[in-house]
Amino acid sequence: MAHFIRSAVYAALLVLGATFFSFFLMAKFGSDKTYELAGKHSTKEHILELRHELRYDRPVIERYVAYLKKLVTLDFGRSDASGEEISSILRRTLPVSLAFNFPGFFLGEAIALLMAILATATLGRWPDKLISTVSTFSLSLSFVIVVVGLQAVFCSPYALDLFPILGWDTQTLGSYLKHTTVATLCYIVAALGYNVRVFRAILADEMGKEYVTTAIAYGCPKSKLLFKHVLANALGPITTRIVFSLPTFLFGGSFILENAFSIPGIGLTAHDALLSGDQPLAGAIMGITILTYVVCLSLADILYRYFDPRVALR
Amino acid sequence: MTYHVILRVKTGFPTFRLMRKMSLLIFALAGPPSIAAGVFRFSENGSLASLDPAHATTVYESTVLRSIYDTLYTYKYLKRPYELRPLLAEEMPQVSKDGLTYKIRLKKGIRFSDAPCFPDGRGREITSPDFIYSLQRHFSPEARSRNAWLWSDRIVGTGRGKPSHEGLRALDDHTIQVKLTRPYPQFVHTLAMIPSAIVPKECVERLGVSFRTTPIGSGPYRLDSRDSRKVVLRRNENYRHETFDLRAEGYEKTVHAQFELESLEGKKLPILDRVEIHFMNEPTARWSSFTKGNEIDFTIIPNAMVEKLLERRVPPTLKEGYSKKYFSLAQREHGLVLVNFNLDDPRIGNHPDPKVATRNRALRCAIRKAFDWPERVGRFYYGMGEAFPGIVPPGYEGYDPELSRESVTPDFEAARKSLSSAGWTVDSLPVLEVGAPASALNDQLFEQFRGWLKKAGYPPEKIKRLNFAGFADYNQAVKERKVMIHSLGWQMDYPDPENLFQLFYGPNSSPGSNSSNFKNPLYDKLYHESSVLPPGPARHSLFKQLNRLLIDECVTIAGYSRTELAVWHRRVLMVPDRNFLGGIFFKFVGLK
Repeated sequence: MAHFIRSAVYAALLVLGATFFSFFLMAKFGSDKTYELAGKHSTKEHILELRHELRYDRPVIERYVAYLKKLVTLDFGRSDASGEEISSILRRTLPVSLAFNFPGFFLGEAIALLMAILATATLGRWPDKLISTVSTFSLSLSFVIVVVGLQAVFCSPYALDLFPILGWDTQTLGSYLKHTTVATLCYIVAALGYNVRVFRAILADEMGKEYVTTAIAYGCPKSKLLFKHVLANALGPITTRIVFSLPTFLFGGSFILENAFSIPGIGLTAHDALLSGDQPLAGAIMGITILTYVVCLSLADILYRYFDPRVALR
Repeated sequence: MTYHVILRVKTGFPTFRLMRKMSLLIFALAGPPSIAAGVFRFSENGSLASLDPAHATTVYESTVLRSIYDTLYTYKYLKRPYELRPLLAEEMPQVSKDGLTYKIRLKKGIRFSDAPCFPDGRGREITSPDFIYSLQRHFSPEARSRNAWLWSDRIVGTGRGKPSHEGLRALDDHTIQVKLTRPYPQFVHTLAMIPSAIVPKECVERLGVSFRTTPIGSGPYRLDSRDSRKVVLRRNENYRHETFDLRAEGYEKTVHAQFELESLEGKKLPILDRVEIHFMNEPTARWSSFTKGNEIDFTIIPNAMVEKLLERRVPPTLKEGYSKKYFSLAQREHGLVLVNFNLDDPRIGNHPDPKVATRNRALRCAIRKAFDWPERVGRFYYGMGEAFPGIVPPGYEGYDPELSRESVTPDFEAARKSLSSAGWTVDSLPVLEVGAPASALNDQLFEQFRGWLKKAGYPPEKIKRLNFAGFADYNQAVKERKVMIHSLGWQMDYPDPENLFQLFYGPNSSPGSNSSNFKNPLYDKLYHESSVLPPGPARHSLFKQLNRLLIDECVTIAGYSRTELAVWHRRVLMVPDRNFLGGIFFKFVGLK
């Protein structure tokens, strides 16, 4: 119990610190909407009026407190750019991003884990070496290149021309898959790099432990050793890694893909809001991202305890 | 699970099998791709913000809003140079002799589209008070208008926060009278601009801020749906009876026969039920989507593709393989790109010490001398067209063919000499700060500029790039007078070169449109005189003087008008010129 209270306090402090820091950065150094709202032909008085209306002339602390209140009540007001309610923007864009990114996220992590297990099972032999080579190759590719390349191969009429580039349609399972397949492939290619390396490192590290040597000496079959002992022990750090990458997939990682496939999701919305100085919208997305991170952090903590009860005893 | 399973994983490549199965499944479920009949898919870069006409300042908004709203006047779809014609007005306005009183008669029986904000949900008739309200709201603070400058202090009684009651009067339900403070020859142009669109008062008041996302007008289309990537327009069932009269829109066989519009003659407008506008910012994705044939119908040729697609650049001609599949249109922008010096910056601009001011002027002139327009146009603008001295593009009033081309002809040796004869040395030369939003293209433009100045003897380490995260940051810094040298692309608000000369009018200094902050008593006096004159010889000669003054004072490095190359599939019949007209052509678009 004491642990959970302590965790909750830490989480609250983390939210406060992270939101303050990001809000401060945005308010002090971020883009400013005044001049866009003022138009091409403006006057000094008009600028002052607008700054007042947008509350840019208030102290940062006061604005931060107002922001925090919005975050707590989840009532974010309206976008400075379009005038649309932010809650309705989020309701529209978040499910799109979730649906768009989910297969890629799920398959990316799953395939990476399988390959890491395979590599660990054949440590030092050719499958392991092949997987290492593939993952190094994938690591060295920038995500933009992966996206442009796979899109050219699968969607361009000059190549396979199998999938659409334009639009977003989830009316049937078929159209949903049609619009997500190439993005999913992009995620998988990216996951082959970093994720395989991390997972393999965790597993290989476990393989070097003394209990493994002992188990082998006792004649424990390799499959039992891998799945029953090694994987069970490594599951803690592996889940932590997976849970941690969740918010990135939800909010940040999707920008490049959403841009390339014209997907009306939240990644692109966040990007546009930040660059155009739509501070209420950017702030709302930032706040939700931070909250999701903290939730994931707590989740990872709980899962870690579940997979490795020794943590609680320390 | 056993070890054998792992062995199978290793040799069976289930991921590939899975992929194959999945793609088979996808096609079984979705069926073959098809071209949607009766839909035109337009594509656009950029993005949309507010859809309130009072906020519209870019071509993106006007592309969408032109189809939803009506203005009193418009330009003929095909006629060039642009020619005004009545839209909701019965005829061109009756103007009093002194040019101060306009009487405009409104067409009868025009109705707004149906919307829940009307008392019975049905769009009511448009009358004179609607027009007056639509103009007056620009002066009320809640509207947050970005376009009040069009009429502020021009219509009697208007100014910020002061909606005019004396200047705008409804003589009866279908007659409007406007009184101006001084002659305003561009006034009818402003009534063809989207900010003057007629909006229903009850909807604006009932919807409040939501009016920005729920446009309600009387145009050929209404907003069906919208997200950050796509806008869908569908036919307005209340739209008045209107048919496509090719001749009245300025059709000329020699110019327009290539677009095969003849079959559309007499069709009821709008021709199509549905228009989609897709916002795509990734040039390669946009191009691939266009070439697929069943996605977007229209695109702009990306710079990197020009070589591959064009047979000739002047005049722009597609290679035969492509011209069989696509229509194309090369449009020179109505506006120009220029590089401005911030004259508020004492290192390069005005200075209380006249000696320093003279020396600064020599520095600006030398930089301009080293600006290699032919190379810039060749590298970055498809190599089409050429720079012109001053700010008036050829074809516009005020353009002077006799003007010396010296200001747009690079001469590095002369630049070097004029620097040293003005007393500048490598040590005394200031650090030049060139501002631009961060992008690969802007990096290239900057490096090219730095290369030229190096050739003129300017120490390259003294030429710095001021980087900005995005356009908003950059624009703010320019408006706050913090950017010493900045590029500007100016799209004219209406087809009258007066709109170019106001760019250097003293009272318009930043945050107004005069971003060079040029303040010259003679220029301001002449501009003021010209601003009340109608097009004609008197104004032409004033414009020529103004243009010379800008060149003599080396205020800006100007100018060049870019050419945009558009292509669309041959199933679509249209002339997609968006200068001044935005998306007005949508209602004339037909499919084969």
